[in-house]
Formats: sequence, C-alpha cells, structure tokens
Amino acid sequence: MAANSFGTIFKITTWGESHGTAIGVVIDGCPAGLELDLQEVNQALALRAPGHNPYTSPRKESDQAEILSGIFKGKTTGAPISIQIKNSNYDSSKYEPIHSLLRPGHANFTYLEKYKIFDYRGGGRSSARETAARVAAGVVAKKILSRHHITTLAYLKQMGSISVSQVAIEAMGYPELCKQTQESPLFCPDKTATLHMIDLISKMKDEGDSIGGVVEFVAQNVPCGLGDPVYEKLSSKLAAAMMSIPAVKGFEIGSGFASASMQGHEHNDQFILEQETGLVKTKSNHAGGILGGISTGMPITGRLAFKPTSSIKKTQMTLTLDYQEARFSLPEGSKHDPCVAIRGVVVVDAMLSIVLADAILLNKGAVA
Amino acid sequence: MNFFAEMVSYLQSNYQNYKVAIITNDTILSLYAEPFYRLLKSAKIAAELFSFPPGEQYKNRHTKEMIEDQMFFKAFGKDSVVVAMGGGVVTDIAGYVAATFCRGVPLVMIPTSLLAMVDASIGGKNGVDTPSGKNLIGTIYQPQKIIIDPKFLKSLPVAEFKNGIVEMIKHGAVLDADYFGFMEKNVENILRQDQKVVEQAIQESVRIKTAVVKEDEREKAKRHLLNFGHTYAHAMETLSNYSMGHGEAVAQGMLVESYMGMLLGKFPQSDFERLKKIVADYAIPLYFPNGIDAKKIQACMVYDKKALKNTPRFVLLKTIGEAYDFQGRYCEYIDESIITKAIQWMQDDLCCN
Repeated sequence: MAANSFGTIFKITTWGESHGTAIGVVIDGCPAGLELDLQEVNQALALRAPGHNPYTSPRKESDQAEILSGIFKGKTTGAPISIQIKNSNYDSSKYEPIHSLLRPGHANFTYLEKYKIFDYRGGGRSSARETAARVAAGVVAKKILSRHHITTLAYLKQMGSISVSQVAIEAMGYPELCKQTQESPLFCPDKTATLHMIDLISKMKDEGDSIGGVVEFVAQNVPCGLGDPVYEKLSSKLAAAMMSIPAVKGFEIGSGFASASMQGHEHNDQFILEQETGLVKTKSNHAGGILGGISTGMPITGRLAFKPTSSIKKTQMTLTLDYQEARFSLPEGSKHDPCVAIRGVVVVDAMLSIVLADAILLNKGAVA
Repeated sequence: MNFFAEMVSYLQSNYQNYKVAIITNDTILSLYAEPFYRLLKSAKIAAELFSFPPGEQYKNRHTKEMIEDQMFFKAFGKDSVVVAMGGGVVTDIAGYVAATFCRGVPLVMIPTSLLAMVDASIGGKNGVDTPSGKNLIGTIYQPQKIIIDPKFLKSLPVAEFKNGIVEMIKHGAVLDADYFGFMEKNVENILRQDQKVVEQAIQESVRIKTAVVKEDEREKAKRHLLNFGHTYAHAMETLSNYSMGHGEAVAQGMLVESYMGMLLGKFPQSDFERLKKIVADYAIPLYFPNGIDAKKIQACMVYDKKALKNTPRFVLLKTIGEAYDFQGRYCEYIDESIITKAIQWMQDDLCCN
C-alpha cells in the first residue's frame, strides 16, 4: 500500500492509525530557512481537534505535536521535517461489540475485502484522525505561501439544506469573510446560518444521525503561472488533494457543476488591465482562477461535498463478517461526529496550502 | 493618483517620443516591472524589459554589456529613457548604462529596496564591481527623477530591509545626531514597518544624503563622510565574494572604524557603546566568514577609493552625529597596528563564526 505520500517537491508522507501509539507526517523537500514554531502547529491542530467545540466529535484529544527533525534554532534546515502527534484518550473496548460487522457507509468493508485484515479499533488508515497529520503539514506549507503573500481560507458553506448564499459571501468582502469564519464555532461565515446549523446538529445528535455539508475554499494573491499542462494541471492536483480527504464525495472549481447550465458568453471571464497594479484580471471568475490548468492570478476558488459521517447511532441493517444478517449501531459511548464537514474545513485549508506550496516550488524551474 | 499611473503620465508628458528601457532584476520583474510594462503598453508608450538575475555577483561589466547589446538589438538609440526599477544593484547598473548608452540618455529611478531608497539611488553614483573590488568602475550621473514609494517594501525580505536600516543609521552617526536619536527611539516601529515612521525615516535619510551630495557631488571632500564604515565593508564584501550583505558589512565597518577612533582616543566610549547598542537593537547579524583575517582585509583595503599611494584612509567620528573634517580631507590614515587590532576585536570579541 505505497499510497501515503502526496506532492512532487514539497512532499508529505503521513503515517499512523487512529488507535495506535501515534500518527505523524514526514515532509521532504521543504526549503531551508523558514521559521517554524511548534506552537503554531499545536494551534492549527486545536482547530481541527474533536472537542474544539460542542458540535463536533466529543472525543477529547489534546493534540500536542512534537517536531522530531528538520528544524534548527527555530528554522527549517532543508532536511526532512518529521512531526509526531501522540494518540491519547481512546477506549478501544468500545469497538469490541462491532468488530465482526461490516459498518454501513464505512471503509472497513473495502479494506477487509482487499487486505483481509483491519484494525477494527477505529478506522485505521481510513480514519479522519489521519488528517491531523495533514493539518500539521499545512502549517509548514503556509510558511512558503506567506513568503509569496498568498493567503488561503476555507469555510463551511452548507450543512444539509442550510446554506450561505453566494450573494451574501460576495457582499461581505474577503477580510470580513475571514473574520466571520474565525468567529463562527462551525467556521461558517454567516451568523444566522450558524445558528440554524447548530440547531440541526442538536437534532442529528438526538436522532443519533449525521448530516453532510459543503466546504468552500479560496486562495488570494496566487500569482499567474502555477500548474503545468495536461496531467500536472493545478486543477488536477487540487482535485486529487481534495478527493483524498476522508468523506469527500464531490469537488468543483470555480462555477463547477453550475457551468453545465451556462452559455459561453455567461461563463467566459472578460479580461481587464487593472490600472492600480498593472495586473491582468478578469471581470468575473467563473474559471475559479485556473485556465488550461494554470493559475490566472485571480483567486483560486472551489467547493467540496462532504458526505454525512458514516458512523451513526441509528440502527441499520448490515452483514457480519461471515455474511449473516445483523443490526448495526454505533455502541454507546463511542465517538460520534454529527457533521464531519465542520472539521473538514481545517483539512481543506491544509490541503489547499500543500498543493499551492508544491506548485510554487515546481514553478521555480518552469521558464529559463 | 496611484504610483504607476503617476509614472505613466510622467513619462508620457516628459518623454513623449522616447523609448522606455525598463532595467530590472528577475525578482522585481514579475512583481512590479511586468505590471508597469503592461500599463505603459496599454498607454501606447514604447517600452521593453531588460532583466538579469538578482544578486551582487551580477553587478559586473558583463551584465552591463549584455543589457546594452539587448537594447541595441531592440533598436534603442539616443531617444531612449532608462527606468531603473529595483534595489541597489539594479539602480547602480542601470545608472551606469544610462550614463554611457549613446554617450548618455535620461534616467529615472524607481528604487524598490530600502537600501536603494535611502542610499543607492540618491547622489548619482553608479557603477559595477570587478574581481579586485566593489564599485571600482562607474560614473556620477544624476537621474532626472527619483520616485520613492515605500509600498514596494511590502515584498522586501527582512534581511534586505535591514541592509537599508544600516545606511540610515550611518547617515545619523556621521551627520545628524537628532536623526540617530530618532533611529534609536523607533527601533520597534521601524522593525514592524510602521508606515508613517518608515516614511519619515526615509525622507530624513534622503535629506541628509542629498545635502552632502549638493555640497560635493564629485567626492573631492565632504562626500567622503558617507563612506564611514565602508573602507572595511567593501574589503569584507569583496573577500566574502558578496555572500555578506552590504548592510551587515557596513554595520561591522562602522563598529571597527569607530573602535579605531576609540583606540586613538578620538572617539568617546559612551558614543561607541550607543553605536554598538543600535546595531544590536536592530538585530543586525554580525558574522565573520571563515578564511578571512585582518591581514587579508588590510591587503584589500588598498583598493578603497579613498586610498592614496596604496594606503587606506578612514572616516573617523568625533561624536555621534559629527565626523572629523581633517582640514577638509574628511578622512585620514591610521596606523596599521591599530587597524589590525580593531579588526581582530571584531573577529574575536564581537562576531560569531
């Protein structure tokens, strides 16, 4: 299963299982001389960690990262950076009653069929726990982005049928969008929508059920020229990165699927020369900042659909490992995250940063 | 009106039938020079970009030749105006190109680094380095216009920013005690790049340098003062093969040369301590490269432009804000043993290796 690395120059390899000793990431190809503070990593992990707010999984993980290599006197040395996060606060015994069942909507079926062995104490490599390692790598990637004044933002745009309208987001403007997102416990930039979503989460909890959501992302100040033609498009890399996040079922860039119902004259973004900056911009941004797989200099925008969390307490029919009909419901006291899209916001932001950091480093050798 | 628009209309009204040669480096190219070029094109002004890799090691005769050949290739002639857009290396080379291209064409400076804003672009000096030393070939050629916009500093790396700070400290140390005090008081504001304070600091620094240049453009006398710390610094930069930043070298140079003054009993220790403290407060790194020693530095100092009969001369401070005039020569010979002692002090007591 040589499938745990991502990136070409800025290359991350994550390791560890949800109920093992620790998880972590090795980052190879990170340039030397970037200032990296352990506290920044821990702050980012705290945003993703369950128990960050009452609306996600109540499992209390006090994620404390350790940097094992690649840093000297607070700066990256160019050597592989190894970050480890110890697992704590898990109770594997909760999973005993379900270890012989196929979990509806869960990867334990495919893992078992393929590998014939599965760490039933949680999700193993399929667990969302793995994304903590990506978030740690995202902090390092952001160091490269900030050198280029690139900022990234992800936020919860929709939960179930409650969604924040595009008009509201555009009216807000970018600085306000960042501020509102930070202030919301759900990373949702709209106060009213946040309240409705909180109600929806309580309802899901009461019913022992879960709900899906949409996470939107935007990267500002991305220079023109990131990404390469054909198989190394910036859009292809973003798709691969985003689709690798657990529970993601859909991905789109710019107008995405809405482009299908548009006409050419509506969808085409018209070029203008911005007089203040001398930069070529477009009046609209249906392309989501990417043309021909190469960044245009406009904001990179896109969206992800997260499915509802598969682990729910509602009883559903399933099969045992020896193919007998059985009832499945998540045991009392085991973790239950009613909407995985909320924590997904932090992971989307990390993956966006990792893709852009890699693209910047790749671009350095693009033109003689 | 914004900066670019102002530049476009300035060129439009003053150089209507000219061709604009934008000389820049590869970093500034995509950040500011290409955007500027697009606006010129869109205003139907004939313009071309001429860019070379960033770094002091490219400030040489070969780069100048390359730019000139490219300009001729693109049919630039006497009707050219050179726009220098970049840091000190760019303004020095572009200035030299403008001074000699078809025996001189008009020059406009747009400095983008702090060092270039407060020092390199001011005073008309231009030139290139040679294997024997820094700035050994060049002319004095005044630009028609220098436009400073601190907004360019946004994209400047911290180490580069500090290179500029050192020259600002130097202006205060040699010529203006009040300005030195201002730099002492505003360490925090300047380091976090408070826009107002940085703007004021740049303006004052430019004023100090311009006043000296007006008095002695050809560097016959008083202009030597601006070379405080530079006898040592240029030797150090040459020997380190320009791996050491200009500001770092000048910071060491100011300390070494004022240490000499102290050894001679010509500079009070309390003022020397202030100089040491301000270098520490701005966290200017003091690093002494391996393989360099006092002997090598002294051997290299004979190429300094203030040297006479192969003997280096130094600017010496009387107090913070005032230097000795040495009967109008503004620089003086110093006993070799004192020079050695001061360099060894820098190497052994102050620098980390």
